[in-house]
Formats: sequence, C-alpha cells, structure tokens
Amino acid sequence: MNSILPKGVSKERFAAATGAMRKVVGDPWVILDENPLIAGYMDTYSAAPESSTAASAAVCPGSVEEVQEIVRIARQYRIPIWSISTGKNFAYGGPAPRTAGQVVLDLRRMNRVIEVNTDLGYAIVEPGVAYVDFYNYMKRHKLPYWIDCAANGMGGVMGNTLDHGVGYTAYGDHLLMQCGMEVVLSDGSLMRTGMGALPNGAASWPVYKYGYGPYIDGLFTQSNFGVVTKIGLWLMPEPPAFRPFMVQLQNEDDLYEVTEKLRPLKINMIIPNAAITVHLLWEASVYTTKHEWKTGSGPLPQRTLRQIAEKFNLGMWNFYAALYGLPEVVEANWQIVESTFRSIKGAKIYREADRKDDPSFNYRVRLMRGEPNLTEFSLMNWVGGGGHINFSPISPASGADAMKQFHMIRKACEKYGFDYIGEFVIGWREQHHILMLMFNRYDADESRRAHDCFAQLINDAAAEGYGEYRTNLHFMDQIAGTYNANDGALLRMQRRIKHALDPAGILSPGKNGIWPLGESPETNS
Amino acid sequence: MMRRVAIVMLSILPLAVGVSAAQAGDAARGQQVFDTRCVFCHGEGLGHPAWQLLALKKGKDKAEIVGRSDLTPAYIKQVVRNGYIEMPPFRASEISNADLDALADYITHPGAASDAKP
Amino acid sequence: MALANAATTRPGLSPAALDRMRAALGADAVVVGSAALAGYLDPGSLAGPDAARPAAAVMPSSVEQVRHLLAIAREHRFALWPLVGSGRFFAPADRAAVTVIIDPKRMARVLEVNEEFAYALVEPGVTYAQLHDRLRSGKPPLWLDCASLAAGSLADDFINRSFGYTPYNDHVIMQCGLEAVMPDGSVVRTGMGAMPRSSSWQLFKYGYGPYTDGSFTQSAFGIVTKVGVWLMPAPPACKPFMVAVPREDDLQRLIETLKPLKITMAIPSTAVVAHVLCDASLAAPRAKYFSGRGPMPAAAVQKLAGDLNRGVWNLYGALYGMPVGIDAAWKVISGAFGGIQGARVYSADDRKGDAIFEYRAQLMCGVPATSPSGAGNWMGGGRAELAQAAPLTGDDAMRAVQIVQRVAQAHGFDYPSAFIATWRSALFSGAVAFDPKSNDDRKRANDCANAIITEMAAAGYGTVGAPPELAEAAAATYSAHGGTLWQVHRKLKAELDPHGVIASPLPLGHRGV
Repeated sequence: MNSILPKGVSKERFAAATGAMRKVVGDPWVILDENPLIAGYMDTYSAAPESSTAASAAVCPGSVEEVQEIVRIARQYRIPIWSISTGKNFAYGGPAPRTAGQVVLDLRRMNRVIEVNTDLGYAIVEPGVAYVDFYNYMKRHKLPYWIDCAANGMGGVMGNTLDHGVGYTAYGDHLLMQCGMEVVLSDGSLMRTGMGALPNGAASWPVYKYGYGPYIDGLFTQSNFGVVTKIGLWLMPEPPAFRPFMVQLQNEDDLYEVTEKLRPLKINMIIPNAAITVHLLWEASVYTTKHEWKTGSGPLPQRTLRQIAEKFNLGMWNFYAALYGLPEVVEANWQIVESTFRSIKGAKIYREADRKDDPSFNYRVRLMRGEPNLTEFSLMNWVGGGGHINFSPISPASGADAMKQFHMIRKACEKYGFDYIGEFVIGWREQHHILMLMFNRYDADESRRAHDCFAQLINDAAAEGYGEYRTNLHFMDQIAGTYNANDGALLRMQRRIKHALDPAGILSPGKNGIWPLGESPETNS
Repeated sequence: MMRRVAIVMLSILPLAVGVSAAQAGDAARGQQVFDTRCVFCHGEGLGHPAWQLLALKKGKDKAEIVGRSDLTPAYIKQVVRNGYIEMPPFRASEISNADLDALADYITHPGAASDAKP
Repeated sequence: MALANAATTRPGLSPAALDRMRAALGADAVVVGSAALAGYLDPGSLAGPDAARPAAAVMPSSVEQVRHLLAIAREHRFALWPLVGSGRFFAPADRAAVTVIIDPKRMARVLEVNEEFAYALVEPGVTYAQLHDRLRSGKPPLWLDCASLAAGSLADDFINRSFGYTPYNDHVIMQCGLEAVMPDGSVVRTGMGAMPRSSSWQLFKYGYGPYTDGSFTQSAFGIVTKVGVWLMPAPPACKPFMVAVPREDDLQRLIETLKPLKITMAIPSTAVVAHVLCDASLAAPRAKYFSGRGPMPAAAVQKLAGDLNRGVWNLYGALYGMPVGIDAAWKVISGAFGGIQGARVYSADDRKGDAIFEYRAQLMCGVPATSPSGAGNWMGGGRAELAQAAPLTGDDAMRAVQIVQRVAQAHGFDYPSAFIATWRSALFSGAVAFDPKSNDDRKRANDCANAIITEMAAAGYGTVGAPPELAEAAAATYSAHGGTLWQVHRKLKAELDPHGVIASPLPLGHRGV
C-alpha cells in the first residue's frame, strides 16, 4: 500500500482511482510510490527536503484521449494531479509536485512534433517534446528555421513557454511567439483556443493568435486552470547573416554603463535578441570549480575573483548578444554596436573568430542560434552537491536598477555564505536578473542557509518593488504574497478563475500560489 | 540525507516493473539514446558538465563514460533511474526500459555500435 | 431590425438609480433624454436610426467613480456598457432600457509618457491625436501606431484587438500592464502592477502567475481604466512603398511574394493589400466614380483602377531604420515584387499627390491619420464591417475573396476590402456597404453579412471582427469540440460578473439583468 497519499484522500479512494487510471494508460504507466521508478519524480535540486514534494504516484498518459480520461477520474475521485511536461524545470522544482502526495501527471510520453509548416514558419508540438528532440527534428528534415531553446537543452518546448521562459535568439520571448493552444479542461472536455475553436479552422489556428472573444491563452500559463496538450509556436527563419559577440568588462561597476548603453539598442531593435550580462563566476564554472580556489565555505574574496578573471580571460561581467539579418544591415548595425560598447573604459570586444576554442563563449553562441546544450550546468560543479535554486526578479533595464539589485543580492548571498553567481537577461524594456544560488544539497546546514537566503531575498526585493517572474515550488506562495497590491486583487481574481474552471480543485493545486477556494498551503501540508 | 539512503535502498531492489527479460542489446539504438539524452553532459571536453566533474574527481581517462570497463549495466541503469548527486533521474516516460537496456549496452560495449555502422 | 419595437416587459432604470449616479458623479455627468442618447447610436449601422436607446450615459472621471457606478449597478440591477471596449451601443429594447453607457470623455488623461523606456500609460478616453501632440516634441519623438482614426481611443483599439500599420501593429503584443475595475469593485492591476512600488508595470508584460491581460480584450470581465502601451522610437528613416497589380487574379502571386517577406520581417510594417474599391472608398463615396445600382461590374472596377492610377490590388508597406539598411532591404523587396508580371512598384516620390497613398504612408510612418473621405462613406455611411483571419497564402487569399465577392454580389453589394498582413496571417477586412436611407438595403446587408460570416467560417476563415449586431452570429461559428471555448468564456463571465453588471455585445450569457 502507498505510504504517501494525497492530502485528505483515503487509501481506498486512492486505490480505486489509481486502479481506474491503470485501465486507461496500462499498468506500467501508473507508478505508485512502492515502485522504484517513482524516484524519477523527485526534485533533486531544491534546498528543502525531497520528502516535502514526494509524489504519491505518477501517471503517464500517451494521448490526449488518455489525458481526458485521467482528468475525469481525478475529478470523480477528487485526486489532485500535478501536470508536468518534460519535468526538466530544474531549479524550479523539476518533475516534483507542489506538495507531497499530489499525483504527477507526466505528459512526457506525448512527444510528437505534430507539424512543422515551412511555408508559414510555425510548429505544433505536444507537451513531451524536449528542445533537443525538436532541434534534431528540424535538422533531420533539413528545415530552414531555427528553434529558440532555453539554456537547458533537455527542457520542454511547451513547458518552458507555459512557464514564461525565455531563450536567446530574436524569438526569445517564448510566450510572445506562441500561437494556438489545446487544453483539457477539468471536466475532461477538450478546448482549442483562438481559431482552433472554429470547425475547419485548423489552418488558421497556428497563424492568428486571437480568434474571437476574450484572448485567454495566457490564462493557461503559470497556472492550473487546465492541462495544456498542444501549443503552436512561430519559428524564426534562418537569417542570412548572424554575428554573435562578447563584450568583456573589467570592473563590477561597469554593469551600470553596459546596461545604460544597451537599452537604446534594445528598444530600437538594433540588438534583437535577449542580450545577457553574465557575472564572472557563471562563466568561470565552465573551466574551474570553487575548490580549486578556496578551501572551506564562504564567498570568494575580490582578489580571487580577479585572479580567476585573468586566468580564463573573462571579465567581471561578460556581455553577449548577436545581430541577425541581411549582411549589409548586420554590418551597419555592427558599426553602431561596436562603437557604443567600445566607449566603455577597458571593454574588450570579441567576435566568434577571436574565441574559437572557448567553451563558455561557444555555448553562448550556440544558444543565440537556437542550438540546445547543457553547458550552463557546469555551474553545478562550482560547489558540488547538486543544489541550485534560481532567484529571478524583474526590473527596468536600467543601470541603476541593475546595480541596486546586484548589491542587494550579493549582500544577502554573502550574509548566508554564498558566492554571487548571476546574470541579467535583457528583454525589450526590462531585465530578468537570475541568481543561481548554488549549494551542496548533502550538507544540511548549507541547504538550510540557501533556503533562508532565498526567502530573505524575496522580501528584500519586494521592499524595493522588485517581483520574481517565476519560481521554485517552495517559494510559490511567498512570492504570490508579494504581488499584493489593492488588497491582493489580482490573486483573488486568479483564484476565482480557478474556481470557475476547476471547481473541484484537482488540477495542480497551489501552482504559483493559486489554491482552490477554501484551500491554502496550510490545508495541504 | 534521504537521497543517499534512497540510492542504497534501490540498489538491492529489482529494477522497474515493465522491464521485459533482458532484451538483446541494441548498441546502435543505445548510441542514439546517448547522443540525445546524455551527450550534453557526458560528451568529451569542457562545456560538458559531467565530463568536467569526472575529469576532476577521477581523472581524464575516466571522464568519458562510454567504454569504461568499470561500469556495469546494472549500475548505469540504477544511476539513470535515480540520478546521482548532480545528475537528475530520467523517468521511464523519457528513456524507456528497452532504451535504457540499449544505452547500458552501448556505454559498456560501444564497439558494437560502431561495428553495426556501414 | 424589429428589435427596437419589442415590448418592454421590465421596468427601465429607476429614478433612484439615476439619483444615485448623479450624486456620485455630479448631475452634468449623467446624460438622459432621447435626443442626447440618440447621439450614441449610429444611423449607418445594421440596427439603424430606430435602434433602442440606452437608459442613460454617464461620464465618470475617476476609478473611484467607476467603482461607485458598479456598486449602484449591482444594487439597482442594471448594466454598464463601456464604450471603450464594448464598442458602439447595441442592445435589444428590453436590455437597452436597463443599460447605461459609460462614456470615457472624462477619463482621458495621459498619465505618463516615459521617453527613456518608450512607453505611455493612458486612460481609456485618450485619443491618438491627443497623445501624438504630447509625443511629437520628444527627441527622438515616439511614434504612435494608429489602428483606427486619429480621434480613436488607444485603449479601445487594444481591447478590440485592432491592428495598426507600423512595426508596432499588434496592439496586444505592444500593450504592457493594465488596470481594470472588476464587477465586485476590486481594482486589478495586471502583471507587475500587482507588486506595490514596482517600477516595471509598463516594462514587463507577464508578471507572476497566469498572464491575464488578454482576457480583458473583446470581453466584459472588467472595466478597463488604464492601459500601458509600448511606443516605437522614431527610426532614422521610413520608406513607404506601393505595389500595384493589374488583375483580380494577380492577388495570388502578390500574396505569395509577400509571404516570405513578412515572415522574415524584411517588411516590418503591416502590409496592406487593398482592393481598388477599398482604396477608392477612402477618397470619396461611390457615387463620385459610378452611378449605376448594384455591385460595380468588373469593367467599371478596371476603369476605376485606371482612373485612380493604381492596380485592382495594391500593396502598401514600409521599411524602417538606417538608410543603408533600408537600401539593402529595398533591393530585395523591389526585386521580388518587380518579378510579378504587370506589377508596378512605387516609392513615395512616384505617388506625390496621391491622397490615398499619402494617408496610408502617414499611418505606416507613425502619424495618426484619418482617411480623406472619413470612414465608411462608400454608400453614404451604411456599412457592416467584418474581418476574418486567414493564413497568409495566395490560395487562401483568392479563396476568401471569391467567397465574399460571390456572396456580396448575390445580395447586390460591393465589398470594398483589404488584407491586413501581420506576422503569419492576414485579416481580410471589408464592409458590406449599403444605403442607410433604405430599409430594404439594410435588411439585405444584414443577410449578406450573416451569409459572409457563415460561408467564410465553413471555409475555415473565422470572423474576428464584427459589428455588435452580428457578434452572436460570429461567436456561434466557433463551435468546435462541443463549443468548449465559448463555454469557458461564459463560465469566466459568470464567475467574475455574477450579476451581469458589465454589458457587451458578446454572447457571454449575461445574467441578472
């Protein structure tokens, strides 16, 4: 008998529900907690104990019809089901559910690229398509389009889009490039948004986003109002010319100037992709680990940072971006870009040929042309022990905000004994600041410090008006609580929408702080 | 920590349900799995985090796991299914049991894959 | 429409309700009286001059007043019809009697213009012309993407999802952050606006949790009181151009040539592919060109094209940026279109004195404009404007045109139309133009527009824009999968607005009123 059960569900009810689910998906695809395969549903990276998010079971449907059946069963038996697509949302919780006992609805088996339309430049994918699979599909069929992947090449095309993830080409705002969605609703019925609701509308579904009436695709992102089973996304045509580059900055304070110089280039779309300003240690981890520079814990001193920068020919900040388009346009824009960044004192500008065998530059270039890889995960070797959580506040793309956040976050990191390892991903007008909080998960004290550090950062950031765009399972409620203007009107509206679309409250309860009416983190722990 | 306990426990449990009796390995298939699921971390050289870590801990000759003689198929399968410290677990929904058999075959006997190539 | 004469079985708006609104807003902010209210109707609409009038119109000047109005509406059981978002008023007589229009005239403040980050935050009544006046002095000035008339409201075009003509043509994409008063009186700020003290409300669209802004477009879930819009900094240069093709069938090749240029963003503006009747209608009423009755025959259309020195189909687009970049793109673009047999490719210099071209060029270069003849005057003002979405392919364009031309001609109408190409689709926008003085014409126009909606839907071209009289017909075509999408829309409406205090033409199952 299962040792973990969903909150408030009896063993008998659970057994009846999972028994019914077995009949739908077949015995091997209902994985109870006595099955060793349940280990695959653990969050192996967070700072909190794994047991706090241990699933009672996982169910792996192989088709939309099976998803519909599973949802109906979950509703009938009142079983909470937590949807994952590829489950590779590392640093944010991976394949694990929000609370212990929830059943994971694992959509990874639904892994078909349903269509790539080369005439109009779009694709329709199922939830289980990983970036690497999508990329290989495009290569295998020699299609003249790029994909836009997250830094985690094993990540899911759909899952990343639904979680408001970003990539590094000119199509880096994944949600902006999404068009058309298919959703299984909490009663098991199927819905297609936009033109997909039109009988015979299949050809318009992935090319026109809005349809008629409210445009509701966004409701199904970072939420729990339905189970998304297909999305359409627009693909970037291979550009005639592509020029990636790096600007190496010698001082930490240069962050101010590089951000200020960048903003007009972004708003005017001279630089069309998500530009990034990456701190030294993020890139250094591709070559070295902390143990090579320091014994014991605690952040590295400035002196050591300088040594590392020198040894690996890196800057204290390293800025990457790329130009795309007709060769003449790229060349003209390059003149502007180069002279702009050249004016920063001490800045060194590198192009591809200048850093041919440099694995850190290389993986940035690959990301900027949509080639999946996992080089960024070299970060996991920095202290070792696997632990990492991402703190990701949003701010205006200004030098003052960048510096303020950098100092605020580094101060907290040092207080809790961690290195600051961060980057700024600059979008159209704002920037995502990503702190990679690295810790040894096998050290209980270090894990607790990491958890506490993160919790403090949320409050520190909120006090300055900075909110996070996405987060780890364990901090979803705390962050939702900081978006509390007008007496929490937005979250209250979201919870009412939850009630309208999932009255039984069975779909991913607690996702991003959205609990069914009458429930709360407390009633679920 | 709990995770370590889990690893030890699992090593004495039979492997996943749904595994048919050990299928004849298909090393070419195994290579394909390696190239799509493992190579980003376990490929050779810096830029591949697992290679980097193994090179540091065990030396460069052991950093490349393909062809290592000291890894058994059973061990490989257990690590894939449960993860290992920095490495995440891989579920049956992403690497099927049959594919995992083939992968273990390939890692332990990569020669078979190259023999199979024209 | 006979609806205006339907027997009123419910009492109208109570005097007490009116008194409370006067007390809350001031007496001069509450409009009653038949003559004044008639001003909110459009004699050129399908419903015509005899359409039912609303019970009143009100002009709140603050969010607080909007909240008051909602409280009064909840208590006195009437509905509010925001002109911004719901569009021109139209309701059957029994509903009209308990519906009060919210006129945005007094909520028309530009709350912020940020030149550094290139955005504005506006109230619902702010017009393009008004904001343009404020922006033109900037260095560099910020452009406006005008989707309707210079006198139109930015918020209204966002909520209606109208497209403009510059690279910022997609107003839903370029909108960032909004505020809405919900039926229960709570004031929701979306995205980063939900974070106290955030300075990123107009900078980051998605905030945390579900992205809900889209749910406030073409809906009646809340009354939108503020909208953030991203603005395009004026580029160093703007080069509008035109491509004219001589025959109806050349549309196929014209759209096929356009397609890769749009998908690669070689043409970053909206590409408008206008039929000559559409172009002509911008300049003057039909009577100036043609005196016959019924749809214009093909020969007359050909002659008109010649007289106006353009093709039967005419493409308008623009390039932006540094001159060197424009030159490089222009080589590619003029070469591609020049390869179409019979095509004529024009730059601005070639079209000097062409008021239609100049009007379109102005819009593409970031300046709000109104067409020389005003809108919709082809047959004296009577029109039912429709838009369908189609994939951006030559075959789809041809098929769509053939369907509407057949249906329009069978009903005795012209259908001046244009394809509005953005990203990967084209909105096929047109109007059944009728004589507003003829009830017979109006009835046939109604039948014609209904037939277009139905027949286009059957061919896979869903109607995405329709006059309020036809909203229900348009929505009904989205019936796949057991009609689940509109069921969800209605569930959302029922949850967020259980008393139905916000009205709209959409079939959202308003209850309580």
